[in-house]
Formats: sequence, C-alpha cells, structure tokens
Amino acid sequence: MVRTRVGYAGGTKDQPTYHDLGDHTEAIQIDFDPDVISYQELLALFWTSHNPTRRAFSTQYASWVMPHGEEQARLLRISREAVEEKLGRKVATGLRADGTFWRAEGYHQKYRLRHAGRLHDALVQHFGDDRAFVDSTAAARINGLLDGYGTRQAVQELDLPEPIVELLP
Amino acid sequence: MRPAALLLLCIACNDHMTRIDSSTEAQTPLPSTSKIQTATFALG
Repeated sequence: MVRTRVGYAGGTKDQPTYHDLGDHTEAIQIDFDPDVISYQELLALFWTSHNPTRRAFSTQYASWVMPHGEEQARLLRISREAVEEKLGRKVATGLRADGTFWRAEGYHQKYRLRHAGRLHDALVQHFGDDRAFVDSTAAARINGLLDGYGTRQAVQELDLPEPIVELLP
Repeated sequence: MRPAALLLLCIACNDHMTRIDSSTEAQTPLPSTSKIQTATFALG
C-alpha cells in the first residue's frame, strides 16, 4: 500500500460531508503498487471482509466496488462470478461506475493513529501538515500497526526519524 | 511470511474495521508514482 484515505463515493451529491452525505456511501480508496499486490488480491480481501450475500441496510453503509478502468472492471467480473460459484448464491454486493471520490473530513482519516497522542503529533510535524500526514505511507502502515496488523519492520523500512520510531507500538 | 496488513477504520464507528492486507514486504524505496494504481471499495 502506498496511500489510503476514507471518503464518500457512489452518489451524485456534490461536496458531501459526514452530516450531509446525500446518496453517497462511506468508502475507502487505496493507492497500491501492482508489482507488490495485485488488484485480484485486493478483491479477494474485499470479498472475505464482508458478507457479499447480505443486502445493504442503507446507502451510507452499502458494500460495493468501484472499478477504475476496463481492466479492473474485467477482473471484478471474473472475481464476482467466482464468488457466486463458490457460495452457490447471487452476490448482493454492488458495482459503481467510476466516479468522484470525495475525501472525508480530516478527523475521519487515520482514525486510530489520530488518537495516538505524541506519535500522531510527531508524524504531522514530520510530514509538515495534516494532509501530507494522511497521505503518507507511514501513516497508513502505523494506523494498521496500532490495531495489530502489519509489522513494525514494514514501518521501520520507511526510514522515519528515530524519535518517531521510538514511539511505535 | 504472514502478509503485512494495514487497517482502515470505517468513518462512522471506531469498531467497524476493514482489513486490507498489503504486500509481503514493504517497498523500499517506494515505487514511482507512475506505477501506482487506485482501488475503491465500500464495506458496509
């Protein structure tokens, strides 16, 4: 993973906010290096991270994939058919046309890390401002690390200053 | 090696989490931006 962010997408409302979401859904966007992890692998994780046969209770919390480009759309079709064959049921998880992804407000981004006190403050200072912090690979990896995912080594390989490394969990 | 992972927190609630595994190894140095692709998901 290179960068991650949360936001609102799939709807038509311009400039949605958390309290005025319109017809959008809460979504995540991931920038990834296909030489390291493929789109198929991300799709496989997506399918196992939710119940694809359950219909959404609301638009805000729906499950769907928004493929970017023809190749992602093709891979999604293949992946979805494989899931349906495996489950023996139709998949309720939807598909959205490629469209605008509206970044959520800053206080939603890197939520766990944002509440990590000195570690968060040190990272914001290191990257210069909140936007750069949110868009950093380090923030994405440390945010996961705080909840037990990934490795400390994967963070240390980013060559962060020692005072920050010392604050890592 | 167990794939590294990162965690994305759902916007509305702290306990609704999405786990997205990353690669087996971190990229050092990070790849050039021209290689990077974007994926978008919603996990209700």
